[in-house]
Amino acid sequence: MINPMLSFMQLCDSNFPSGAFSHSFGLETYIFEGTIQDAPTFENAMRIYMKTQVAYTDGLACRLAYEYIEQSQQEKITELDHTLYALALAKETREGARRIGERMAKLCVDLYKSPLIDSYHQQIRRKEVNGHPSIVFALAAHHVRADKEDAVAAHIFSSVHSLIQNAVRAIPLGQTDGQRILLALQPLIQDITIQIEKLTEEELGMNMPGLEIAQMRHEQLPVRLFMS
Amino acid sequence: MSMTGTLRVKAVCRGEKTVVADTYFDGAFKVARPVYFDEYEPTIYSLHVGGGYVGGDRYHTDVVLEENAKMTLTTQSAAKVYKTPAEPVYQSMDISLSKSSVFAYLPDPLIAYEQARFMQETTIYMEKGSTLLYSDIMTPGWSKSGEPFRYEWVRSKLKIYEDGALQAYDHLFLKPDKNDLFSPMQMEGYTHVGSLFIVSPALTQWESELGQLLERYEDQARMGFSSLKNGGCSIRILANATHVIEEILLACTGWMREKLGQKHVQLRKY
Repeated sequence: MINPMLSFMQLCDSNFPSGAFSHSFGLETYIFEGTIQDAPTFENAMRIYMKTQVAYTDGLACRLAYEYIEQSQQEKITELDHTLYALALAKETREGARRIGERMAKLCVDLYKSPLIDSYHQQIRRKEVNGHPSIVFALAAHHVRADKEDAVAAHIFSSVHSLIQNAVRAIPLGQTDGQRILLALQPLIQDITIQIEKLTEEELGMNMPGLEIAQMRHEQLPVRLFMS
Repeated sequence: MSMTGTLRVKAVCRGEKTVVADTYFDGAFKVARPVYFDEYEPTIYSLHVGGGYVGGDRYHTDVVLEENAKMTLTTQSAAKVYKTPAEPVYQSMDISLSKSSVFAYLPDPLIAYEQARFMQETTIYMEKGSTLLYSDIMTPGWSKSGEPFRYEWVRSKLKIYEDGALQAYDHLFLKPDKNDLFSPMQMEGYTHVGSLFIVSPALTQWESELGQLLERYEDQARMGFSSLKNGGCSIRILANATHVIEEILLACTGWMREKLGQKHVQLRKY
């Protein structure tokens, strides 16, 4: 019997080779421009990032995917995948999510005996879908029989965790600063998880122009540590 | 539900010339007779006869371009959204573009005043080989306190399908009271947002050209551009004045019209 909590610890571990360590999803633009330069400016940026991108896109997508899995609505998962891909207007962000999604799907196929994960991975290979980490996370969480709310919270945690790890390398910050920010963001992770429960499908992908512009401008940065 | 304003326009190609074959308008929407800045291609100006949008208003526009038709749709003045105490204003637009048609939507800005709530949904169905230029400008109106961002929220959904597949989904949500809109990732200290989407077979190897073109405006605006899934282009602009965004959009549409072998058109006459 697979334990949901221990499974989350594995899926959210920084050693879990999803490829997330190569992506900043626009944050590197702010680091390059000096808007993010230390622990306080980074923590503030993370809070905004979480309230917009994480809440309305990644978190809500994870919740919706989990619900579609529960209701056996495979075609809705396909549609969600296409929507998420189209929502990312910055090419690097779109490709970044696709690469991570594909890698996670491949890994989860090797780890779990789940017909649903197998089928999503097959769809990726046939190019019927693109692959998205929020969908793979929901599939994995459902497979290990985790609760939906826990799945959403863990997915948010894993996104936040890898962005903090990346910021520690890029800004740079001390490891202790990174851990302190991760702990300080815990209440927000919980608030967003509750908020996501009340959102509707119609609100998926709502975003602010600033982050998107930063994600687009990343393509032109002269020096880059990250692929997005 | 009854509509405050409805507009339907269909353009067809007769020989070399595009004619507006079918126009229907009702309620607060009207269109003037097509203007031919170019002898083959009409420009249509739509106008709102009521002076502004108020709570509960609902508007719908349908645009159809048949094969090879070329048309530009614009507005005669800015769309002013006033206080919407009970219901938000809802506006929808469906655009359908057949093969080899060229459609440009270049409206005046949306001005959202104090306590305004505005929702817009645009869906574009393109056949591969057609060309789309779609722009949008959103600005805060004057408020008694003099502060910008006194509107309640502005939300905009734009979906672009090509041969039935979703290529781009832009979902903007501007809500001043919730988070600090001026902060990074949101409005970055600016008040006005402009967007331009271009999908066209004439758009190839465009990134460095566009980058150079936009560089001229770096000190007036914060801009980003990227390529869409189907090779199309999205441009997002933040600035503090409508004329800055308009100038950038005009430079971009002029650049694109050149690629399409069309003359540069200056739509604004004031």
